[in-house]
Amino acid sequence: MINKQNGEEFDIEIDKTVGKPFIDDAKFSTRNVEVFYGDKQAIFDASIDIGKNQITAMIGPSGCGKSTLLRCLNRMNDTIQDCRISGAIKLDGEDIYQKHQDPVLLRARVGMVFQKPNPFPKSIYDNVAYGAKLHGLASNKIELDALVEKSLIRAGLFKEVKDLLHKPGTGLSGGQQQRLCIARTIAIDPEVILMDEPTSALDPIATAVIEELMISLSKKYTIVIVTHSMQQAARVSQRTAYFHMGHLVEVNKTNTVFTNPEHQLTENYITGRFG
Amino acid sequence: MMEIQHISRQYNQELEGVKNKVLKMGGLVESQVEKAISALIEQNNELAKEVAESDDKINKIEVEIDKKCAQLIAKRQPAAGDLRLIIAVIKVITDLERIGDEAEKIGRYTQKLTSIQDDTNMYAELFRLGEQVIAMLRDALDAFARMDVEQATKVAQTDRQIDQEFDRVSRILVTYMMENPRHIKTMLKVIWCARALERIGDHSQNICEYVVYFVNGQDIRHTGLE
Amino acid sequence: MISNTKKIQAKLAKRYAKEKRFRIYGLSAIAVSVAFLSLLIINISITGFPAFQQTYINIDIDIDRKLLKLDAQYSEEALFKANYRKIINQSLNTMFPSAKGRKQKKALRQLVSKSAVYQLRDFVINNPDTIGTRQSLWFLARDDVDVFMKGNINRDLPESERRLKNFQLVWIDKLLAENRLEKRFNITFFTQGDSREPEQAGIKGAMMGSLLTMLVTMLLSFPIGVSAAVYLEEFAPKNNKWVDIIEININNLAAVPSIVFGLLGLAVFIGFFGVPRSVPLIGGLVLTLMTLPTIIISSRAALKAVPPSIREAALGLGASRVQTTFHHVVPAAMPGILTGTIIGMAQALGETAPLLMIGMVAFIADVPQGITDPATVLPVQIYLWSDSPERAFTEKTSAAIMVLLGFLVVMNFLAVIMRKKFEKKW
Repeated sequence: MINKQNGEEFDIEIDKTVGKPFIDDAKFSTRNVEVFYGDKQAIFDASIDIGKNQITAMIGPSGCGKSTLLRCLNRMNDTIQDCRISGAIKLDGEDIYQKHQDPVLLRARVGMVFQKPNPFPKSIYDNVAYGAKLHGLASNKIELDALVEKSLIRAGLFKEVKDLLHKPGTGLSGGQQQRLCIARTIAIDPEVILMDEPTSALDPIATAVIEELMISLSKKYTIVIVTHSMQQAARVSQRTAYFHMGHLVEVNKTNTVFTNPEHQLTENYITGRFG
Repeated sequence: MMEIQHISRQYNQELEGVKNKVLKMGGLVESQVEKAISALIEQNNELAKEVAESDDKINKIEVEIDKKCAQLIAKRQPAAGDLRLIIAVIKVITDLERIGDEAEKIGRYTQKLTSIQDDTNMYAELFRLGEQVIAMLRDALDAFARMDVEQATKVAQTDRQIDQEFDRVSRILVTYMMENPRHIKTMLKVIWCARALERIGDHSQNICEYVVYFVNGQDIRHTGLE
Repeated sequence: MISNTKKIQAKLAKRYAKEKRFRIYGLSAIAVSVAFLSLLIINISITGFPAFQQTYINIDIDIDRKLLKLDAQYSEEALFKANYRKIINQSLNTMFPSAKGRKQKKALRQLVSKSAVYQLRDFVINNPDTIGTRQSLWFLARDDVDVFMKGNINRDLPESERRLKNFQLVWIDKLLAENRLEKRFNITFFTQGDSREPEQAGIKGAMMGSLLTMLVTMLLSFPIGVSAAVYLEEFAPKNNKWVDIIEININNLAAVPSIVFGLLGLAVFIGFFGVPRSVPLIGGLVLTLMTLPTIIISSRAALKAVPPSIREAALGLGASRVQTTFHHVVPAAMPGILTGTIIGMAQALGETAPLLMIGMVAFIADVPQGITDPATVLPVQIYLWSDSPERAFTEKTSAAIMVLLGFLVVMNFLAVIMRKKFEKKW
């Protein structure tokens, strides 16, 4: 394995994931997952457990495969042509890539929050109610109203928008939009929430609010977050996984990864030595 | 590990700067201790006075390094190895400063001792202890400078020999006191000096432990060395 | 640094001059186009505006029972079939006793439009109690009189080079002196179909024809075009050979000369499927073929412009691909799709060539009532009139162009309004 660093090539072996990739109480577990985009291999042999009601952070330089693996967890990669996945990804012990598994149902169980806040160009109310309407979670208007309110309260947005429920969601600030997206996701009460760099487009204060929200949500949901901010991973997550050029290099408790990483590549990355 | 540089060259330079300052402080402390010991053994009042009065310099460097470390933490949010280095540095300079204090103490006692006329050969008894302490301090600083775990582990173990030597010196000094109770007052001062030397050994051991912590990420304090 | 500043300064004047020059090029290009456009519009307006007025002539008519050959007890049919031409001629002769000889008498009859007979008939049928009385009635004047009234026949030319003879001018002068000639707003133009007689020709037939054709085109091309665009953009496999071929063909179709579509329509729809010719249905079918590529291409562009984050958001919530497309993507692309459609329709509205091939160029005097009645459309009507020899059709041609341009402006304006209304921000 040849790595490039500061223009010079150096050799560091990535044989297998170091640290503690496997745990007892796993919500998700991937085994020997390999992902290809056409001829290009994006992920090499990733095996990791994601703990229940925990925040698991995935970090690594751009193009390291962390987002790819995240998108495998709710089969968002299905929409990309010539994306092939091998290995097993199990949610509560069931392989989500089996033929009889329905991706629509899976995505109702595994919600996702994206990098750029992407509310629908509809009202705040409709944004939150959309998923519930889609899956028929509320039988009447009163139930739906209650659900919308509850979701907004849990996303910490209700106070700010309770008088604007029928105003367009796109009129909110970036941080509020992202919280609206979170409210929209938790409205269908998923088991897992995947977050793909949820705060990369936000200012530090909005970021802090979202991080706080993540921590409070992790009591009820299993959260997986991909982030470019190592500090964010350190602040919010219980476990951290480091990816490097498609390889899952190291998985361990966040405290361990950030004070005493096992792998040289992890050390280089989190101390800012990666070129 | 160190040959891979940070992306930020400024960060590299700042870390290097802190490390160099620590080494400089170590050198200063080392020479203070050397001077204090030779002042004590040779009963050199002038040298003792110089040692007693130049502790200030060490204190100033400590404050300076502390400030630099705080700035580094605030600005760079160091992680992993860098974080451990800074923590080690902060701890090392505390021990170095204490060593400086001990040297100053020896200087002050020596000044008092030189005013007492005495023909006993007791200062010579401290010679070996002084040699051992100086060697240990030097080796500890050396291990820190090179971040050499092996040497650090080895040096940390020599503290036991220093403790034994201190016990031996104490026994001799007690014997002196029993032989001639008029000397008790003097002997107590000498014993304080020996005690100070022994403390320097303890601080040197701490420095070695920080080196191990920095390199391996394990805290070996209070656990004994394997 | 100082030397750099100086270098930059030295070039500054040149750079600004270049910018200024470029601005002048741009402005002059716009000025030239604006000049030509206004020239066109002014020319058409000046020629066309008189067509909105029409000359009427006042004649005292003796509705003589004898001349109409009506008994005291007359049937409806007899009233309908009675010879009204005779009493108009009689009345004209009475008004202008100076007209002698067949030639002059014929000329005298030609002061009044041929439609005067039907006008009089309708008047009498509606007011049977006027039979046997003398009525002062206004009739449409002949096109030559109208052209003269609008100043387009020069009195000073030698008689042989004029459409109106000297004795006719004397009559017209007399009528003018008695206030029996008057220019009024031309309702006929908007309420009648085509006619061989310029004073009776109107554009209602062509307008209805255009409207019905557009209706057919709209109803066919919008759903087909949008469905095709949605499929190609959202569902079709990417990098598939067949999809690529279809794409290339759609893009090529947009550039195919429209007359080819006419030939295709002639061969396939009329020849093979037996659709009647000259009707809005076939026109709509052919124009659908022509408009489809435009609609598909613009709709695809609009769909492509919808940010992928919206699709991801919906998919991430567990919406299926069809739900994602129809709940979020298509509504978001609607302004673009509508704009493309309206522009395609506007293009179809102005199309002539393919319609010539499928027989919509026929002379049709009746206003079409449905999509299977023979009809013509506005641009073809313009083409037909511009080909007619009568002087009075010149102004009608321009007037029809004005109406057509008006329609186009309205449609484009509609496109802008639609875009504004449906536009959403993200």
